[in-house]
Amino acid sequence: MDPRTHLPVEVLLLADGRLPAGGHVHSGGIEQAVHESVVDDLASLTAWLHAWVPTVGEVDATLAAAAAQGALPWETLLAEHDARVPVPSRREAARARGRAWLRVADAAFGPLALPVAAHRSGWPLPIVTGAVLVAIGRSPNDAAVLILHGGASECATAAIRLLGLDPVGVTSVLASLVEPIVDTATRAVAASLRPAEAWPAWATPALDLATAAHHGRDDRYFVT
Amino acid sequence: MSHDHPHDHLQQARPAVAPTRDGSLPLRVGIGGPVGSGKTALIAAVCAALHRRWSIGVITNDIYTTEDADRLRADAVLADDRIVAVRTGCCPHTAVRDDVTANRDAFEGMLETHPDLDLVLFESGGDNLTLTWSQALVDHEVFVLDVAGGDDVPRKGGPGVSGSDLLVINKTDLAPYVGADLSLMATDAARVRGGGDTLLVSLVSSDGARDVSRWLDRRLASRSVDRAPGRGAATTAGGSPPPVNASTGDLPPLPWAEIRP
Repeated sequence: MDPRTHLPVEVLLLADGRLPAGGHVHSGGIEQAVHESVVDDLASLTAWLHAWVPTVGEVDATLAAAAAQGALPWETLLAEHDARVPVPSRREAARARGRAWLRVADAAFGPLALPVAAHRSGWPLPIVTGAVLVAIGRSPNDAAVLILHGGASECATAAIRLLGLDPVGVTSVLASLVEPIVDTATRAVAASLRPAEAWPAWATPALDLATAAHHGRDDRYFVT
Repeated sequence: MSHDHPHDHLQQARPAVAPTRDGSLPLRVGIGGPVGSGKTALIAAVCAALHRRWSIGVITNDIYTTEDADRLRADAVLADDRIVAVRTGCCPHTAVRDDVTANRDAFEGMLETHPDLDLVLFESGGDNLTLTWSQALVDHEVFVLDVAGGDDVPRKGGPGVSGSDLLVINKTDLAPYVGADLSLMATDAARVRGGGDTLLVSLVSSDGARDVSRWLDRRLASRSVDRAPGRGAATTAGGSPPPVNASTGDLPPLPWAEIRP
Protein backbone atom coordinates (compact mmCIF):
# COMPACT_ATOMS: atom_id res chain seq x y z
CA MET A 1 0.00 0.00 0.00
CA ASP A 2 1.22 3.47 -0.81
CA PRO A 3 2.39 4.89 2.51
CA ARG A 4 1.35 8.34 1.34
CA THR A 5 -2.28 7.41 1.74
CA HIS A 6 -1.58 7.22 5.46
CA LEU A 7 1.16 9.79 5.91
CA PRO A 8 0.91 12.62 3.40
CA VAL A 9 4.19 14.22 4.36
CA GLU A 10 4.11 16.65 1.44
CA VAL A 11 0.70 17.89 2.58
CA LEU A 12 1.95 18.24 6.15
CA LEU A 13 4.83 20.29 4.81
CA LEU A 14 2.50 22.62 2.92
CA ALA A 15 0.15 22.85 5.91
CA ASP A 16 2.92 23.91 8.28
CA GLY A 17 2.08 27.31 9.74
CA ARG A 18 5.73 28.26 9.29
CA LEU A 19 5.62 27.74 5.54
CA PRO A 20 7.46 30.82 4.25
CA ALA A 21 4.67 31.96 1.95
CA GLY A 22 3.64 35.17 3.67
CA GLY A 23 0.68 33.86 5.63
CA HIS A 24 1.88 35.33 8.90
CA VAL A 25 1.03 38.89 7.84
CA HIS A 26 -2.62 37.97 7.22
CA SER A 27 -5.25 37.58 9.93
CA GLY A 28 -8.13 36.45 7.72
CA GLY A 29 -10.38 39.13 9.21
CA ILE A 30 -9.49 38.49 12.83
CA GLU A 31 -7.72 41.80 13.33
CA GLN A 32 -10.83 43.76 12.47
CA ALA A 33 -12.96 41.37 14.54
CA VAL A 34 -10.68 42.08 17.50
CA HIS A 35 -10.82 45.81 16.77
CA GLU A 36 -14.63 45.67 16.80
CA SER A 37 -14.64 43.47 19.93
CA VAL A 38 -16.36 40.67 18.05
CA VAL A 39 -13.50 38.40 19.10
CA ASP A 40 -11.90 38.98 22.49
CA ASP A 41 -11.41 35.56 24.09
CA LEU A 42 -11.29 31.83 23.38
CA ALA A 43 -15.07 31.48 23.37
CA SER A 44 -15.64 34.24 20.84
CA LEU A 45 -12.75 32.97 18.71
CA THR A 46 -14.34 29.54 18.74
CA ALA A 47 -17.67 30.95 17.59
CA TRP A 48 -16.01 33.05 14.90
CA LEU A 49 -14.06 30.11 13.47
CA HIS A 50 -17.01 27.74 13.57
CA ALA A 51 -18.89 30.30 11.49
CA TRP A 52 -15.93 30.84 9.14
CA VAL A 53 -15.38 27.19 8.19
CA PRO A 54 -18.80 26.47 6.59
CA THR A 55 -19.06 29.90 4.90
CA VAL A 56 -15.88 31.59 3.66
CA GLY A 57 -14.02 28.35 4.26
CA GLU A 58 -16.45 26.27 2.24
CA VAL A 59 -16.37 28.64 -0.70
CA ASP A 60 -12.57 28.61 -0.79
CA ALA A 61 -12.44 24.85 -0.23
CA THR A 62 -14.80 24.26 -3.15
CA LEU A 63 -12.63 26.39 -5.42
CA ALA A 64 -9.53 24.47 -4.29
CA ALA A 65 -11.25 21.14 -4.86
CA ALA A 66 -12.49 22.24 -8.27
CA ALA A 67 -8.98 23.31 -9.28
CA ALA A 68 -7.75 19.90 -8.17
CA GLN A 69 -10.50 18.14 -10.17
CA GLY A 70 -9.00 19.58 -13.33
CA ALA A 71 -12.32 19.67 -15.16
CA LEU A 72 -12.50 23.39 -15.91
CA PRO A 73 -10.24 25.90 -17.67
CA TRP A 74 -8.23 28.12 -15.34
CA GLU A 75 -10.00 31.20 -16.65
CA THR A 76 -13.31 29.80 -15.45
CA LEU A 77 -11.91 29.01 -12.02
CA LEU A 78 -10.49 32.53 -11.67
CA ALA A 79 -13.82 34.08 -12.69
CA GLU A 80 -15.73 31.87 -10.26
CA HIS A 81 -13.37 32.91 -7.48
CA ASP A 82 -13.67 36.62 -8.15
CA ALA A 83 -17.46 36.37 -8.40
CA ARG A 84 -17.51 34.99 -4.86
CA VAL A 85 -15.10 37.47 -3.26
CA PRO A 86 -16.71 40.92 -3.37
CA VAL A 87 -14.03 42.86 -1.47
CA PRO A 88 -11.22 44.05 -3.78
CA SER A 89 -8.56 43.99 -1.07
CA ARG A 90 -9.33 40.35 -0.34
CA ARG A 91 -9.12 39.41 -4.01
CA GLU A 92 -5.80 41.22 -4.24
CA ALA A 93 -4.48 39.52 -1.11
CA ALA A 94 -5.60 36.11 -2.37
CA ARG A 95 -3.53 36.63 -5.50
CA ALA A 96 -0.44 37.87 -3.65
CA ARG A 97 -0.70 34.88 -1.38
CA GLY A 98 -1.22 32.49 -4.24
CA ARG A 99 1.87 33.81 -5.98
CA ALA A 100 3.99 33.42 -2.84
CA TRP A 101 2.55 29.99 -2.08
CA LEU A 102 3.26 28.79 -5.59
CA ARG A 103 6.84 30.06 -5.31
CA VAL A 104 7.37 27.89 -2.24
CA ALA A 105 5.58 24.84 -3.66
CA ASP A 106 7.47 25.20 -6.91
CA ALA A 107 10.79 25.29 -5.06
CA ALA A 108 9.77 22.31 -2.96
CA PHE A 109 8.23 20.03 -5.58
CA GLY A 110 8.71 21.70 -8.92
CA PRO A 111 9.08 22.98 -11.36
CA LEU A 112 5.35 22.50 -11.54
CA ALA A 113 3.55 22.73 -14.86
CA LEU A 114 1.42 25.80 -14.30
CA PRO A 115 0.89 28.76 -16.63
CA VAL A 116 3.25 31.69 -16.30
CA ALA A 117 0.33 33.88 -15.27
CA ALA A 118 0.05 31.92 -12.04
CA HIS A 119 3.58 32.97 -11.14
CA ARG A 120 3.60 36.49 -12.52
CA SER A 121 0.28 38.10 -11.70
CA GLY A 122 -0.72 35.52 -9.16
CA TRP A 123 -3.71 33.25 -8.96
CA PRO A 124 -5.87 33.26 -5.84
CA LEU A 125 -4.60 30.99 -3.08
CA PRO A 126 -7.45 28.44 -3.30
CA ILE A 127 -6.90 27.93 -7.04
CA VAL A 128 -3.14 27.61 -6.59
CA THR A 129 -3.62 25.18 -3.72
CA GLY A 130 -5.82 22.91 -5.81
CA ALA A 131 -3.50 23.14 -8.81
CA VAL A 132 -0.42 22.33 -6.75
CA LEU A 133 -2.03 19.50 -4.80
CA VAL A 134 -3.13 17.67 -7.92
CA ALA A 135 0.26 18.29 -9.52
CA ILE A 136 1.97 16.48 -6.64
CA GLY A 137 -0.49 13.62 -6.76
CA ARG A 138 -2.85 14.53 -3.95
CA SER A 139 -6.63 14.61 -4.02
CA PRO A 140 -9.27 17.35 -4.21
CA ASN A 141 -10.18 16.46 -0.64
CA ASP A 142 -6.60 17.11 0.47
CA ALA A 143 -6.78 20.51 -1.22
CA ALA A 144 -10.05 21.34 0.52
CA VAL A 145 -8.78 20.27 3.95
CA LEU A 146 -5.56 22.21 3.46
CA ILE A 147 -7.44 25.41 2.61
CA LEU A 148 -9.78 24.99 5.58
CA HIS A 149 -7.18 24.10 8.19
CA GLY A 150 -4.68 26.61 6.83
CA GLY A 151 -7.20 29.42 6.87
CA ALA A 152 -8.49 28.61 10.32
CA SER A 153 -5.03 28.26 11.86
CA GLU A 154 -3.95 31.53 10.26
CA CYS A 155 -6.89 33.32 11.91
CA ALA A 156 -6.14 31.61 15.21
CA THR A 157 -2.47 32.55 15.12
CA ALA A 158 -3.40 36.18 14.53
CA ALA A 159 -5.73 36.02 17.55
CA ILE A 160 -2.86 34.75 19.69
CA ARG A 161 -0.66 37.62 18.60
CA LEU A 162 -3.30 40.31 18.99
CA LEU A 163 -4.98 39.15 22.20
CA GLY A 164 -2.30 37.12 23.93
CA LEU A 165 -4.61 34.13 24.10
CA ASP A 166 -3.30 30.93 25.66
CA PRO A 167 -1.81 29.11 22.66
CA VAL A 168 -2.62 25.73 24.21
CA GLY A 169 -6.22 26.83 24.47
CA VAL A 170 -6.18 28.01 20.86
CA THR A 171 -4.90 24.61 19.76
CA SER A 172 -7.89 23.14 21.52
CA VAL A 173 -10.13 25.51 19.60
CA LEU A 174 -8.56 24.36 16.33
CA ALA A 175 -9.06 20.75 17.38
CA SER A 176 -12.76 21.47 17.81
CA LEU A 177 -12.80 22.30 14.09
CA VAL A 178 -11.69 18.86 12.97
CA GLU A 179 -15.17 17.50 12.39
CA PRO A 180 -16.52 20.68 10.78
CA ILE A 181 -13.49 20.76 8.50
CA VAL A 182 -13.90 17.13 7.48
CA ASP A 183 -17.61 17.63 6.84
CA THR A 184 -17.09 20.89 4.97
CA ALA A 185 -14.33 19.39 2.82
CA THR A 186 -16.61 16.51 1.92
CA ARG A 187 -19.33 18.93 0.85
CA ALA A 188 -16.79 21.01 -1.07
CA VAL A 189 -15.52 18.02 -3.03
CA ALA A 190 -19.08 16.94 -3.86
CA ALA A 191 -19.94 20.46 -4.97
CA SER A 192 -16.81 20.72 -7.09
CA LEU A 193 -18.11 17.86 -9.26
CA ARG A 194 -21.21 19.87 -10.13
CA PRO A 195 -21.47 22.79 -12.59
CA ALA A 196 -19.90 25.97 -11.25
CA GLU A 197 -23.22 27.75 -10.89
CA ALA A 198 -24.15 25.14 -8.28
CA TRP A 199 -21.05 25.76 -6.16
CA PRO A 200 -21.61 27.43 -2.80
CA ALA A 201 -21.50 31.21 -2.80
CA TRP A 202 -22.22 32.00 0.84
CA ALA A 203 -22.61 35.71 1.45
CA THR A 204 -20.83 37.07 4.53
CA PRO A 205 -21.71 40.76 4.43
CA ALA A 206 -20.57 41.51 7.98
CA LEU A 207 -17.15 40.02 7.33
CA ASP A 208 -16.95 41.71 3.92
CA LEU A 209 -17.72 45.11 5.43
CA ALA A 210 -15.20 44.49 8.20
CA THR A 211 -12.59 43.49 5.64
CA ALA A 212 -13.18 46.67 3.68
CA ALA A 213 -13.04 48.79 6.84
CA HIS A 214 -9.82 47.07 7.90
CA HIS A 215 -8.15 47.85 4.59
CA GLY A 216 -8.80 51.55 5.12
CA ARG A 217 -7.12 51.71 8.51
CA ASP A 218 -3.58 53.05 8.89
CA ASP A 219 -2.99 51.45 12.27
CA ARG A 220 -3.35 47.80 11.31
CA TYR A 221 -0.66 45.22 11.96
CA PHE A 222 -1.89 42.75 9.32
CA VAL A 223 -2.42 43.09 5.58
CA THR A 224 -5.86 41.49 5.89
CA MET B 1 -4.37 10.42 -9.77
CA SER B 2 -4.23 11.58 -13.32
CA HIS B 3 -3.87 15.21 -14.25
CA ASP B 4 -6.03 15.88 -17.24
CA HIS B 5 -6.60 19.60 -17.15
CA PRO B 6 -7.84 20.71 -20.55
CA HIS B 7 -4.92 23.09 -21.02
CA ASP B 8 -2.77 23.37 -24.04
CA HIS B 9 -0.88 26.39 -22.73
CA LEU B 10 0.97 24.73 -19.88
CA GLN B 11 4.64 25.40 -19.70
CA GLN B 12 7.49 25.16 -17.28
CA ALA B 13 7.60 28.47 -15.48
CA ARG B 14 9.87 29.93 -12.87
CA PRO B 15 9.32 32.90 -10.59
CA ALA B 16 9.96 36.19 -12.35
CA VAL B 17 12.61 37.48 -9.99
CA ALA B 18 14.80 35.44 -7.71
CA PRO B 19 17.17 37.51 -5.56
CA THR B 20 20.72 36.31 -5.89
CA ARG B 21 24.11 37.34 -4.63
CA ASP B 22 25.79 37.42 -7.99
CA GLY B 23 25.70 41.19 -8.34
CA SER B 24 22.92 41.26 -10.91
CA LEU B 25 20.54 42.86 -8.44
CA PRO B 26 20.82 45.89 -6.19
CA LEU B 27 22.92 45.58 -3.09
CA ARG B 28 20.48 44.73 -0.30
CA VAL B 29 21.35 45.85 3.20
CA GLY B 30 19.35 45.20 6.37
CA ILE B 31 19.44 47.92 9.04
CA GLY B 32 18.42 46.46 12.40
CA GLY B 33 18.63 47.44 16.04
CA PRO B 34 16.51 48.17 19.09
CA VAL B 35 13.61 50.62 19.00
CA GLY B 36 14.93 54.16 19.34
CA SER B 37 18.54 53.34 18.50
CA GLY B 38 18.45 55.60 15.46
CA LYS B 39 17.83 53.30 12.50
CA THR B 40 15.53 55.70 10.68
CA ALA B 41 17.77 58.70 11.33
CA LEU B 42 20.77 56.74 10.09
CA ILE B 43 18.95 55.69 6.92
CA ALA B 44 17.86 59.28 6.27
CA ALA B 45 21.41 60.52 6.70
CA VAL B 46 22.88 57.78 4.52
CA CYS B 47 20.35 58.46 1.79
CA ALA B 48 21.17 62.16 1.93
CA ALA B 49 24.85 61.36 1.53
CA LEU B 50 24.56 58.76 -1.22
CA HIS B 51 21.43 59.43 -3.25
CA ARG B 52 23.21 61.56 -5.84
CA ARG B 53 25.76 58.83 -6.43
CA TRP B 54 23.53 55.78 -6.32
CA SER B 55 19.93 54.88 -7.03
CA ILE B 56 18.45 54.00 -3.62
CA GLY B 57 15.24 52.47 -2.31
CA VAL B 58 14.10 51.91 1.28
CA ILE B 59 11.70 49.27 2.61
CA THR B 60 10.56 49.76 6.20
CA ASN B 61 9.17 47.14 8.58
CA ASP B 62 7.44 49.22 11.22
CA ILE B 63 5.76 47.20 13.91
CA TYR B 64 2.31 48.43 13.05
CA THR B 65 2.38 51.80 11.32
CA THR B 66 4.00 53.49 8.38
CA GLU B 67 5.59 56.05 10.66
CA ASP B 68 9.20 55.41 9.65
CA ALA B 69 8.33 55.48 5.96
CA ASP B 70 6.38 58.70 6.47
CA ARG B 71 9.31 60.25 8.29
CA LEU B 72 11.69 59.31 5.50
CA ARG B 73 9.29 60.74 2.95
CA ALA B 74 9.03 63.92 4.97
CA ASP B 75 12.78 64.28 4.74
CA ALA B 76 12.22 64.37 0.97
CA VAL B 77 15.61 62.90 0.21
CA LEU B 78 14.12 60.15 -1.91
CA ALA B 79 11.02 60.20 -4.09
CA ASP B 80 7.95 58.82 -2.36
CA ASP B 81 7.81 55.69 -4.50
CA ARG B 82 11.33 54.78 -3.43
CA ILE B 83 10.12 54.28 0.15
CA VAL B 84 7.75 51.39 0.86
CA ALA B 85 6.36 50.17 4.18
CA VAL B 86 5.38 46.53 4.70
CA ARG B 87 3.15 45.12 7.43
CA THR B 88 4.57 42.39 9.58
CA GLY B 89 1.59 40.93 11.41
CA CYS B 90 3.00 41.90 14.81
CA CYS B 91 6.16 39.89 14.12
CA PRO B 92 8.89 42.07 12.62
CA HIS B 93 11.54 39.40 13.19
CA THR B 94 9.54 36.84 11.25
CA ALA B 95 9.20 39.24 8.34
CA VAL B 96 12.96 39.55 7.84
CA ARG B 97 14.07 36.10 8.91
CA ASP B 98 11.58 33.18 8.91
CA ASP B 99 9.25 34.34 6.14
CA VAL B 100 10.42 37.27 4.05
CA THR B 101 7.58 37.13 1.53
CA ALA B 102 6.20 40.60 2.27
CA ASN B 103 9.62 42.20 1.99
CA ARG B 104 10.49 40.23 -1.11
CA ASP B 105 7.25 41.27 -2.80
CA ALA B 106 7.95 44.90 -1.91
CA PHE B 107 11.49 44.58 -3.23
CA GLU B 108 10.36 43.06 -6.51
CA GLY B 109 7.68 45.71 -6.89
CA MET B 110 10.19 48.50 -6.31
CA LEU B 111 12.59 46.91 -8.78
CA GLU B 112 9.90 46.91 -11.45
CA THR B 113 9.33 50.63 -10.88
CA HIS B 114 13.02 51.45 -10.57
CA PRO B 115 15.07 48.89 -12.52
CA ASP B 116 18.15 51.08 -12.06
CA LEU B 117 18.32 50.55 -8.31
CA ASP B 118 21.83 50.17 -6.91
CA LEU B 119 21.01 49.91 -3.22
CA VAL B 120 17.95 48.83 -1.25
CA LEU B 121 17.94 49.41 2.49
CA PHE B 122 15.59 47.29 4.60
CA GLU B 123 14.77 48.78 8.00
CA SER B 124 13.70 46.24 10.59
CA GLY B 125 10.87 46.90 12.98
CA GLY B 126 12.87 47.32 16.15
CA ASP B 127 14.67 44.37 17.59
CA ASN B 128 16.25 42.73 20.55
CA LEU B 129 19.82 41.54 20.28
CA THR B 130 18.92 38.24 18.60
CA LEU B 131 18.11 39.70 15.21
CA THR B 132 19.35 37.83 12.18
CA TRP B 133 18.34 38.52 8.59
CA SER B 134 17.47 35.94 5.99
CA GLN B 135 20.14 35.43 3.36
CA ALA B 136 17.26 35.36 0.89
CA LEU B 137 16.57 39.01 1.70
CA VAL B 138 19.84 40.87 2.29
CA ASP B 139 23.50 40.76 1.33
CA HIS B 140 24.76 42.67 4.39
CA GLU B 141 23.46 43.28 7.90
CA VAL B 142 24.00 46.48 9.85
CA PHE B 143 23.04 46.54 13.52
CA VAL B 144 22.52 49.87 15.30
CA LEU B 145 22.98 50.28 19.06
CA ASP B 146 22.33 53.33 21.17
CA VAL B 147 24.92 54.48 23.72
CA ALA B 148 22.09 55.46 26.06
CA GLY B 149 20.83 51.88 25.99
CA GLY B 150 23.72 50.93 28.25
CA ASP B 151 27.44 50.50 27.69
CA ASP B 152 27.17 46.81 28.62
CA VAL B 153 25.11 45.93 25.54
CA PRO B 154 28.05 45.08 23.25
CA ARG B 155 29.40 42.75 25.95
CA LYS B 156 26.08 40.89 26.04
CA GLY B 157 26.50 39.99 22.40
CA GLY B 158 23.72 38.15 20.59
CA PRO B 159 23.51 37.51 16.85
CA GLY B 160 22.66 41.12 16.03
CA VAL B 161 25.71 42.47 17.84
CA SER B 162 28.18 39.71 17.11
CA GLY B 163 27.12 38.51 13.66
CA SER B 164 26.26 41.69 11.76
CA ASP B 165 28.60 42.89 9.02
CA LEU B 166 28.71 46.36 10.58
CA LEU B 167 27.93 47.38 14.14
CA VAL B 168 27.00 51.04 14.52
CA ILE B 169 27.19 52.45 18.04
CA ASN B 170 25.06 55.56 17.76
CA LYS B 171 24.48 58.66 19.90
CA THR B 172 28.05 58.93 21.16
CA ASP B 173 27.23 62.55 22.04
CA LEU B 174 25.06 61.24 24.88
CA ALA B 175 27.84 59.28 26.55
CA PRO B 176 28.75 61.94 29.13
CA TYR B 177 25.11 62.32 30.15
CA VAL B 178 24.42 58.65 30.72
CA GLY B 179 27.81 57.66 32.11
CA ALA B 180 28.61 55.41 29.17
CA ASP B 181 32.22 54.34 28.60
CA LEU B 182 32.74 54.51 24.82
CA SER B 183 36.13 52.84 24.92
CA LEU B 184 34.66 49.96 26.87
CA MET B 185 31.89 49.61 24.28
CA ALA B 186 34.42 49.64 21.45
CA THR B 187 36.63 47.08 23.20
CA ASP B 188 33.72 44.77 23.99
CA ALA B 189 32.39 45.09 20.45
CA ALA B 190 35.77 44.19 18.98
CA ARG B 191 35.97 41.14 21.21
CA VAL B 192 32.49 39.71 20.58
CA ARG B 193 32.70 40.53 16.87
CA GLY B 194 36.09 39.01 16.31
CA GLY B 195 37.40 42.23 14.84
CA GLY B 196 34.36 42.85 12.59
CA ASP B 197 33.64 46.39 11.49
CA THR B 198 32.35 48.70 14.23
CA LEU B 199 31.70 52.42 13.88
CA LEU B 200 30.95 54.89 16.68
CA VAL B 201 28.83 57.73 15.38
CA SER B 202 26.73 60.70 16.40
CA LEU B 203 24.08 61.78 13.95
CA VAL B 204 23.73 65.16 15.66
CA SER B 205 26.49 66.58 13.48
CA SER B 206 25.79 67.16 9.81
CA ASP B 207 28.37 64.62 8.67
CA GLY B 208 27.63 62.11 11.42
CA ALA B 209 26.77 59.34 8.98
CA ARG B 210 29.85 59.86 6.83
CA ASP B 211 31.67 56.73 7.99
CA VAL B 212 28.62 54.53 7.54
CA SER B 213 28.02 56.05 4.12
CA ARG B 214 31.59 55.31 3.13
CA TRP B 215 31.24 51.75 4.40
CA LEU B 216 28.26 51.30 2.10
CA ASP B 217 29.79 53.24 -0.77
CA ARG B 218 32.85 50.99 -0.73
CA ARG B 219 30.66 47.92 -1.14
CA LEU B 220 28.57 49.54 -3.83
CA ALA B 221 31.65 50.63 -5.74
CA SER B 222 33.37 47.26 -5.64
CA ARG B 223 30.11 45.58 -6.63
CA SER B 224 29.46 47.94 -9.50
CA VAL B 225 32.64 46.79 -11.25
CA ASP B 226 30.88 43.55 -12.09
CA ARG B 227 27.58 45.14 -13.03
CA ALA B 228 26.28 46.33 -16.34
CA PRO B 229 27.42 49.87 -17.18
CA GLY B 230 24.91 52.60 -16.60
CA ARG B 231 23.06 51.00 -13.75
CA GLY B 232 24.44 53.45 -11.26
CA ALA B 233 21.84 56.19 -11.26
CA ALA B 234 24.42 58.77 -10.33
CA THR B 235 26.57 57.99 -13.33
CA THR B 236 26.46 60.84 -15.79
CA ALA B 237 25.89 60.45 -19.50
CA GLY B 238 29.60 60.19 -20.03
CA GLY B 239 29.93 57.47 -17.45
CA SER B 240 32.00 59.56 -15.05
CA PRO B 241 31.16 60.08 -11.39
CA PRO B 242 28.88 63.04 -10.73
CA PRO B 243 30.26 66.33 -9.54
CA VAL B 244 30.26 66.82 -5.81
CA ASN B 245 29.30 70.13 -4.28
CA ALA B 246 30.78 70.46 -0.82
CA SER B 247 28.80 73.60 -0.07
CA THR B 248 25.53 71.66 -0.28
CA GLY B 249 26.64 69.03 2.15
CA ASP B 250 26.96 66.32 -0.46
CA LEU B 251 29.42 63.53 0.13
CA PRO B 252 33.01 64.71 -0.40
CA PRO B 253 35.14 62.91 -2.98
CA LEU B 254 36.00 59.42 -1.85
CA PRO B 255 39.33 57.69 -2.43
CA TRP B 256 37.69 54.69 -4.04
CA ALA B 257 35.43 56.66 -6.33
CA GLU B 258 37.77 56.16 -9.28
CA ILE B 259 36.98 52.46 -9.50
CA ARG B 260 33.35 53.17 -10.33
CA PRO B 261 32.42 52.26 -13.91
